[in-house]
Amino acid sequence: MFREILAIVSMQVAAIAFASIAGAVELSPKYLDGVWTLESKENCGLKEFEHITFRANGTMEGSRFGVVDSVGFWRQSGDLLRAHLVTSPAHFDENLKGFQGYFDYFPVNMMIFDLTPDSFEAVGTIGDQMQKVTLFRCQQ
Amino acid sequence: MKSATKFLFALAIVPLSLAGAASTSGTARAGSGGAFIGGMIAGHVVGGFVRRDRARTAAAVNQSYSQPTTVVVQEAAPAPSASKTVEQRLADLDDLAKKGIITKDEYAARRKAILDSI
Repeated sequence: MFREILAIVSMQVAAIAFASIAGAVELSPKYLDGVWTLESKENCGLKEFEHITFRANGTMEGSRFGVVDSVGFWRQSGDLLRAHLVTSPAHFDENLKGFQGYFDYFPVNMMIFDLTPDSFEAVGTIGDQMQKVTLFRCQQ
Repeated sequence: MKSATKFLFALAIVPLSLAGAASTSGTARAGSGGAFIGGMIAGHVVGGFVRRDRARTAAAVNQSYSQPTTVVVQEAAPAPSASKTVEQRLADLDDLAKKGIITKDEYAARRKAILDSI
């Protein structure tokens, strides 16, 4: 009797362990590789929403309205991602149009968590700016 | 990420978010749609302007306080009573009375004051 109970419990434990391993999504260059957009998967087709492209070779770019507005490099360490971007602030705010043609470097830190196969949460910081966002994978 | 780590991270986010709220709120939007990286960069640049403007204002205020002001120091008139003897002061008082510059009452009061100072 005891052996039967032990066998059933062991099977259940093994099943749970297998399910958690099978469902686990790990942050990696391979996982990030692709185009991501904000807030909803439906926004993949909307150019007014920023699209961020991570490439497995460590380069990345941001774009809106079909125009690339930031480019740079990214490196991942655990659940942290550090990006080094070059862009013109003129792309992002009407009040900053005076920066047209002027490009600067911006280091971006991101903490990434709650990964699913096609989405993840990120908290990003640039200087004293911090934003949380959910990114959704777009079909390539 | 573990729940405890998330909670601690959230605690850190609140004050930083409040600090950055002056320039951005949530996912920044320029027109319609949204921008994550763009929003932070815009907020960072605009926030930089605000910080520099505040610093300039503070510097201007400090400058106005520390600006050297022209102070005219008038040389104090020598106190005649300090350098003159009682006799000389009484003589001066008599002279003023004779010339009619001071009244009899003033003469009496000043004379009493000179004598009291002995």
